[in-house]
Amino acid sequence: MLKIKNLQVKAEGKHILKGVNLEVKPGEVHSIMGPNGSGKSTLAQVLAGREGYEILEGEVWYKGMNLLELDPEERAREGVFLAFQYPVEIPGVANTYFLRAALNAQRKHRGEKEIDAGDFLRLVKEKATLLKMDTGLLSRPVNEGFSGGEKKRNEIFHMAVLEPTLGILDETDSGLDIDAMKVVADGVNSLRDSERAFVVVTHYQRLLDYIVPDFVHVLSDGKIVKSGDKSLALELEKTGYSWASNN
Amino acid sequence: MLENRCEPRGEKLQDFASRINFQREESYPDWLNDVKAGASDLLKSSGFPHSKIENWEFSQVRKVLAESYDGADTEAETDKIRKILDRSLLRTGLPALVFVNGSLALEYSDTEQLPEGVKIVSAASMQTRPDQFGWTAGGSLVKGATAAFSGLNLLLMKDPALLFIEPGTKAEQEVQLVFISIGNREHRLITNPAVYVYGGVSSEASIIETHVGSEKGKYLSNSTTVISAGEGCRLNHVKIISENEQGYHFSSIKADVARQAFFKTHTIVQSGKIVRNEVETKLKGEGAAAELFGLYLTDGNRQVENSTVIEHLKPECTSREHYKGILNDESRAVFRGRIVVAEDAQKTDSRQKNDNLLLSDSARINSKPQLEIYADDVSCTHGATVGQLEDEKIFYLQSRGISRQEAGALLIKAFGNEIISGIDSEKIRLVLEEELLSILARN
Repeated sequence: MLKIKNLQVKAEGKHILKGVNLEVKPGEVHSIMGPNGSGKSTLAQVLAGREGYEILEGEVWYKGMNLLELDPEERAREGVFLAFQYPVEIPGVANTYFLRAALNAQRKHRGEKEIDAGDFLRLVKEKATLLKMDTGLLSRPVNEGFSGGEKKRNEIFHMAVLEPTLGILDETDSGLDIDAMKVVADGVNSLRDSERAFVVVTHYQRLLDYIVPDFVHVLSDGKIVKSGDKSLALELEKTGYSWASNN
Repeated sequence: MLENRCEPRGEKLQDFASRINFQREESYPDWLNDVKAGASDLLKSSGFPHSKIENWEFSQVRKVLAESYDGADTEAETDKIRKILDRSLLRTGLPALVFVNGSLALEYSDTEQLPEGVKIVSAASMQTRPDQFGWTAGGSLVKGATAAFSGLNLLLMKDPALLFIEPGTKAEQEVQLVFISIGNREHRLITNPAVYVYGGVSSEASIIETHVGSEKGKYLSNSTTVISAGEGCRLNHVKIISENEQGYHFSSIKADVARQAFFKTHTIVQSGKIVRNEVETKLKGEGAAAELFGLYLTDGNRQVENSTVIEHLKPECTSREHYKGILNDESRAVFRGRIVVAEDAQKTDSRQKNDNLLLSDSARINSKPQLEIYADDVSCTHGATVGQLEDEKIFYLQSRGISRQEAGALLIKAFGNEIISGIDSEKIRLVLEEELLSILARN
């Protein structure tokens, strides 16, 4: 589904990704771990199409398409979803209004009809219940005045409604207490199936107790220096990142 | 329709003001002739403002005064007017009183449908001078050049809409007034819409003014709105300025707010080449409250000025003021917000904000808050912001599947809707939201 080949990226004059290789197949959950500044978030942002990054070398293929040539909205409509590390506040735009516009843009792209108001309401209610969202947050402007935890939960709520093919979670666990993390993990797990894949970027191992990955990769200084199964995350937890990059 | 012999005839407004020799009109009651004579004297003696005097800096008044004008006595064609009415406000579904070039046009108006307790009266039919509107035999004006356009309105007004809201009235339906200016090709036409509202004790009403123009033609709509809100009265006022590409609009809103009364006004500027709005509010009784809101959309090389004054004259009055602008191309906007708190006005609570969204590098905004506080126990804040669409927000919306263009439109609409959503009348709100979208789509 996703194939990253020798991806090298520069931002603000700094060489950040120095040759990332990664293949993600349908149904898989990959976790990218690494110390601060290793390039984890850059990788997530580049996959979603954020401007301001210079691609020096490499390719990214997604469902047979050259992902780097697509606009961010085209990527989203093709099923790529980024849950932001720092979700953005959008004053004046109601959460569900925005979500419906996004969903309809994606449906239109797939040649489907716009979602019926009643169906949308049911969908939103179902997903909000799943994520134990305070229903007040649905009609409020997107993320405005939300607590840190509410913002992260709202990201996963958006993901649950939009049902992407490839979900990229950028440090969704940071700032969440253990209960909130379990709820977020439930949301992600409910979407797991043989067609869908996830890339979970995280600094800590604890989220992976709840979203159990098939593969764990350690990113260090812009390169994947080690890959393994979920036990790698536990090892990292015990011994720290220096161990991984030194071996 | 009142006849009015002294009107500009293809001349500059200054030349007209210095030559006029006011002649009393037989069909007018004495008091109205006195008011007009006073205005004529003032105009003659004080002249017109220029950009060197306070509150007129950055204004384009020089351009306005450099042109030649004709009085508004031309008959407009019916089909033209029907067309204008169809495309503008009648979409609100509210009954309306329609004025063409300043004269009440009965054939387009629903005079029967005014809410109970609201009366519209012709000034010419009043035998004695109504004392609610500050009219005196000497005109009613503060002397000086800054009052020139108000003076011109008094002198040239044809059918001022005098609205009396009886004490205790709770008018659920809005009173809608529509002013149409039919422009000229050669000399610019000057029209003088005039609205006077008296809200009786404990009454409640909403007044919506819409100012539109013919599709083509030059005109200056020089409008005056005078509001007097009696004790405990609640008045909602909306002024929508939707002039044509060449149209000028100079607007003056003056409101006196009595004890425990509440006055809210929205000035929505959708279009017009040069627009200047003055709002002067006096909080004259204890516990009075005023809310001033504005939204201005500018593009091309248009200019919109908003010049506001709120005077807190008595204790425990509150004022809220929020103006927002969306500026594109080479357009320019000016915001002046003066708050005066008199020595006696303890426990004043005043908030002022001016936010601007610049969609182009060549658009310009001058924002000038001005606080004059003579009391010591007050809470006054003000703030101004100028910003552009933030890439971060656009990317966030894009990352969920919304196109870059739609994302921009969504953010701009949200910015403007903050002002529109404060309008109580749902019908007006919906039409304005829709119009905001279509204006944005045009850009």
